[in-house]
Amino acid sequence: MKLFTVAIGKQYENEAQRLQRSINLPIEVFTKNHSKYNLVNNDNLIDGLYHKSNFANYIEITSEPILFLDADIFTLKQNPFEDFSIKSDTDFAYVPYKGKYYFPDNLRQSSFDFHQHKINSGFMYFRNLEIAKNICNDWNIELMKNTDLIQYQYDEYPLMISLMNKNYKIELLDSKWNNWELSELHEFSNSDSIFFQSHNFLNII
Amino acid sequence: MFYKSSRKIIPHYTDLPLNNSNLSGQEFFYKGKLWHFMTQLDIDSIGWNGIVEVGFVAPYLKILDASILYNNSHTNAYTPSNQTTFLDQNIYHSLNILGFGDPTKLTQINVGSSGHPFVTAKYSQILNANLLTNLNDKGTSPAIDFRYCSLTSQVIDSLFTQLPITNKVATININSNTGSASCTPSIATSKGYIVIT
Repeated sequence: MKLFTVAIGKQYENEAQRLQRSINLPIEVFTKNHSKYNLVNNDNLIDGLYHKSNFANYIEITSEPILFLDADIFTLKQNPFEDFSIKSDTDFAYVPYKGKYYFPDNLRQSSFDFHQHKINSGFMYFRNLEIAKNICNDWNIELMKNTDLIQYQYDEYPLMISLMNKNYKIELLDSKWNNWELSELHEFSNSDSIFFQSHNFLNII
Repeated sequence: MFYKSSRKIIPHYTDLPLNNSNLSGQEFFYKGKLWHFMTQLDIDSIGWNGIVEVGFVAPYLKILDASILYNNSHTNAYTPSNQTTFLDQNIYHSLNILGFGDPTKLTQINVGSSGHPFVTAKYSQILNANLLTNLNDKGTSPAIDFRYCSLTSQVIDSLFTQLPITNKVATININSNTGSASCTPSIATSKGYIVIT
């Protein structure tokens, strides 16, 4: 399984270093120093999300499944992928957000109603690079259609919208694979979850 | 030889005293924090005119002191961030937004659980939520997290109704409450909020 993350900007680079330390496995980190990086937008958020949604196009040819992780993900477990398993016919897998969402706009509401959950893009499995590229290409296009909405956390909704037109076999993963809700040190320590997300505690590992 | 100390003695209370206009201006320690019986000047300075009376007990550091809550009728304070010492878990209280200090400066309120399925608080009503004019999500953290608070649909709808219109990214998470499934999210979404039930 090929691990990949995107870290545009110093803060994210530092977080990606924590990720690397924590998983202790080879993981490719796409930064501004990568040969394929180019500045897409002067807004750091838009620029970063552009490259996140385009990440599959930065991966060299591989026959392995792809696992994308947000730069601010980390684990406190040794051998974190020891129990990680995906059904053989799954094309795309992720951890869904909990709860039923209600939005003030139809654009986000329709994407939620289609999937019946919000997709968390911090931990995503793709059966192969071709599927990853196919999803990323449409995700990227959808994201860049409405850059003025990115400030409203509009990074996962373009992904949800782009998937509405595809017929991939999707698997929903247990929240332990990305327990993004936890935010305190004692919560991480006391949790059975494998992965967490935080912009803080960079020296936890 | 007599020595006069210029230091004043500030009492420490183990139980929060009731409001007392006769003691306005006086200070005391409660749970390690400095509190006071508010004067009219104190009340005027943070816009609580007509909301509380002289002698209302409040922590000195009201701004963003979001861990201190008020029970409107009993003026008991709780610190939900310290779950193991949360008092009176089985009693329903009022959540007075005023208890957070200056509500107009609050960007987030988290009195819900961060995912652990135990009761953190029980609220029978939420008051003065109209003062929350600066709510804003922080990354994936919602502006308001009232999960596991035993809120009925009536209390949730009352909260939605009180909240002002927003043009910020403000999510209200009322998942895992008694009234989560039967409340009316459109009251809040029509004012720009995202609601999670």
